[in-house]
Amino acid sequence: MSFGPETAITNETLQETVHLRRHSCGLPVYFCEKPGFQKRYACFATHFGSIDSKFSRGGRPTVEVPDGVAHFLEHKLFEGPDGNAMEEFSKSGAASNAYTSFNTTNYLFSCAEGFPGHLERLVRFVQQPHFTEENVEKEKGIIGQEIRMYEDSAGWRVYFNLLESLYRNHPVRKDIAGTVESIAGITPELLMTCYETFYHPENMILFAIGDEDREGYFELVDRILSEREWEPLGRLDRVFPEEPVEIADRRREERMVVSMPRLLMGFKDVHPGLPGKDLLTRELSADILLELIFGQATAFHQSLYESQLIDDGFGASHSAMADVGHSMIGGETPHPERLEEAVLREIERVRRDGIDSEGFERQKRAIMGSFIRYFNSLEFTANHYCSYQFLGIDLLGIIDGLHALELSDLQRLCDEHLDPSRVATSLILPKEGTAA
Amino acid sequence: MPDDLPLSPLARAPLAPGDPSLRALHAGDPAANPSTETGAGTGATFTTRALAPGVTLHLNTDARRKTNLVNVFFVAPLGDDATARALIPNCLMRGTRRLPSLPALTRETERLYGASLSTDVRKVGERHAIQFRLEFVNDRYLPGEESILDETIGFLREVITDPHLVEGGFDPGFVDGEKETHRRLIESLLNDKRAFAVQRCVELACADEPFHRHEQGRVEDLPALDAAVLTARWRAMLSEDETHIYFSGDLPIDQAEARLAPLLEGIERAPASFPPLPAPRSAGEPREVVERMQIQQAKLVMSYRTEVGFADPGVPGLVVGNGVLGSFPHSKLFVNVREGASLCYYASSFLERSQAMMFISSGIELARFEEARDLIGVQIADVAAGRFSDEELTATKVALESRLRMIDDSPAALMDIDLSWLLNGVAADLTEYRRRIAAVTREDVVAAFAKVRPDVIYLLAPEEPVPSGEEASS
Repeated sequence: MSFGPETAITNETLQETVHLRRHSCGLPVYFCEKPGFQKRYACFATHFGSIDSKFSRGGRPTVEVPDGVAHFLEHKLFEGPDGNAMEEFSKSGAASNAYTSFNTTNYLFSCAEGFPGHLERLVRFVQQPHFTEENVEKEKGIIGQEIRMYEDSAGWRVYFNLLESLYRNHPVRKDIAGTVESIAGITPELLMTCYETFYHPENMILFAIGDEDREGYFELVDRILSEREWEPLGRLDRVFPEEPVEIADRRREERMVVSMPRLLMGFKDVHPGLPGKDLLTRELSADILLELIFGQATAFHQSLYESQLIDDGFGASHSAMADVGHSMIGGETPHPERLEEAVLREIERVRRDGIDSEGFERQKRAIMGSFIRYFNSLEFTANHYCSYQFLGIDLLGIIDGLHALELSDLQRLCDEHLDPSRVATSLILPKEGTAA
Repeated sequence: MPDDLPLSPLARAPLAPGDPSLRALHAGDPAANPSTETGAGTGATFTTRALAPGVTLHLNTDARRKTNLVNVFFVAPLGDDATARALIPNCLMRGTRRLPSLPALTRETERLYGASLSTDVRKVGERHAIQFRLEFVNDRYLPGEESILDETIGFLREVITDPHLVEGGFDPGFVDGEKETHRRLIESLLNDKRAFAVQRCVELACADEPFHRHEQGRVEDLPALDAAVLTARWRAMLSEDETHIYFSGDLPIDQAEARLAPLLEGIERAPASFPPLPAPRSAGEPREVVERMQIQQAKLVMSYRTEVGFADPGVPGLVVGNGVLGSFPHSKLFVNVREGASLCYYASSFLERSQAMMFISSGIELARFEEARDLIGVQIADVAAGRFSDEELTATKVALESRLRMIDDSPAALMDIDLSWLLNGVAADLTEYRRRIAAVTREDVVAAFAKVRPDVIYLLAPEEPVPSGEEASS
């Protein structure tokens, strides 16, 4: 077992280089050197998230698993036959954690010392599942508590209510942790089926970053990975239900204990099979477009702010996934109906009169500067490198992608995507008697 | 500011709290606790220069990062004027003489390659600090020969010292708007149930101490604050507050000094005197306070008096003991209360060293409140009695050392720590601090915990379901 040849991926603006070697077991292994930093960081990510609930491997029959299984598996993996991996990291001076998103589960640690030992622990615990009837049952209680805690979060509720309104079938509409009912059906066998499919090295990425010796790193990883043989993963099909361009519900409202109503409006984007490069263009275009319409530099924002309809938490963002995406606009507001109407009117105006072209170049400068700033963060670099790889995008190409954008990309997106017939609105209102 | 909004998902800070699209394994990860009480870095220290009476420049050269960071802190005693002070940065961020509106100000930051200017108010013990934070790309990363260094620092000077004024005062229209926004901000504190519960516990435990105040102030102060009052308060901030300007970036010290010395030049200084720092108090009779809210999960917050003051030789023992108790995933609260007994979704402890206090914060099921409270009490008693293994002690010291070393990578964290030590009357010697942590023994922990006593036990409980018959008749 060994590595293939090394590829160096460099971006001159960011002044960063990422080295990639692919191991014969199929795992792409990355390294990014950060001289002088005390912190070392590594993450081991799988292309398996909350939306991957229906799949088929090697032409076998399609399997459908309960909502929340990727997140459940993430919790369970920390528990090995000899104890809790997080505790072990902690005892030896490293901090570890993990998270599950729509398309990724990521296991990570940071440390100042003893990097090789921690790295070995990371790779080993992720590659050593230990699911028993007993520990799976116990976890259902813990995750149930977690689900309840999120139920108290207005930000979380307004977001998933919006996704449920935007999407009719796509699993992105489901809470990442599932529900108390859906996780009740999780068994050790089911976890194992998911594990064997998605935790195959060909479906994962190992990424390390910090002031460490590159050769030493690759040698260590080779030694650990070579301890066992892997059958090729074979063909892996993720099955997603067909998602119509039309939204599911125009409007959702929920009452909670909050001091102020919270509004979130969404526009849906359905683009199955869009290649990574185009996905990146789409995401960057959408980010700039939203900033040009709703950003703090606009007269529109100023009028909302001065009329007290919004505070500085108001904002807009776009989220792109492989087949679908959405833009979201909103924040806390005392008058959600008035804000909603103002947003729709402004979109209508921009679609009619065109985009602010003077702001376009300035916005490109701002976003370029922000990316340079984000690359100060070891965690940002590693985590986003992995999640973007899973979408077929190279994170270091982001600056070039930004330079290549043209105003016509934004204009087209504005025409196609910000379609008032495909907007959904999610609203959290204060419970009676709790409004301040 | 717009560049702090998520350019989803790229712009998101990894594992940012509240990031809507991912779910961290341990939202209750004690390592994520934003406590400033872990100590300090590897020994990177700031070179200081006195610029004017009560104005100090703190400089550090760091070539590893792609950005420069300037942090300006205006510090006054934490008092009744916290509300007025909290509004000052909001008024200043509405525009300058040259850029007299929020859009004009924002366009300037965008032109300066997304320079990130943000403000904050915070309390450091019984001191109140107004913060202006500016992070901007180092010229080395800009195309061609472009340079934004001087322009960006000049921009910060403009925002702090040369605001848009109408007849010598803040624009009354802006002020009314900012007061309303501030009212909502204070009221929205109840949206974060975890932080809300901690603040309620502080209010109950420190009712007659300045520390009970929230850094954002109180809604009832707002009506009296008009443009004239706030403008006067801003001028007083410039002339009277203890002022600390921090810089970290890729510039030699003398060049950084030359660039930053003019930041507050020309201001008449008349520094105010501060009341002395509080002496440690002992706990009263433990009190249980229950309050109700419509929530799913109960929050249990417990306050303790440690009687170990900021400069007390017992601090390293207390910090290590707190680590054994509840700062890490190997700590007792996590292992025994959260994992072992499955009693909490999160449970961690943190120190408020300025006040000689310790807090436990946890999320629990209401039905198991007594069980959780008692088991947490057992963990503290065990630490105080030295009932922990050598492995727990070593692991905690290793973890603290690692955390302290990694802080060296973050200029913002180094500045925070340096400031909090300074304001507590202690010169920050981080190398020495690490050495003392490493030398802590079991006996040191036991000695430091000898006077730790519970004070207020605060439970924020879900409302009990109202039987439908009663509801109809009420």
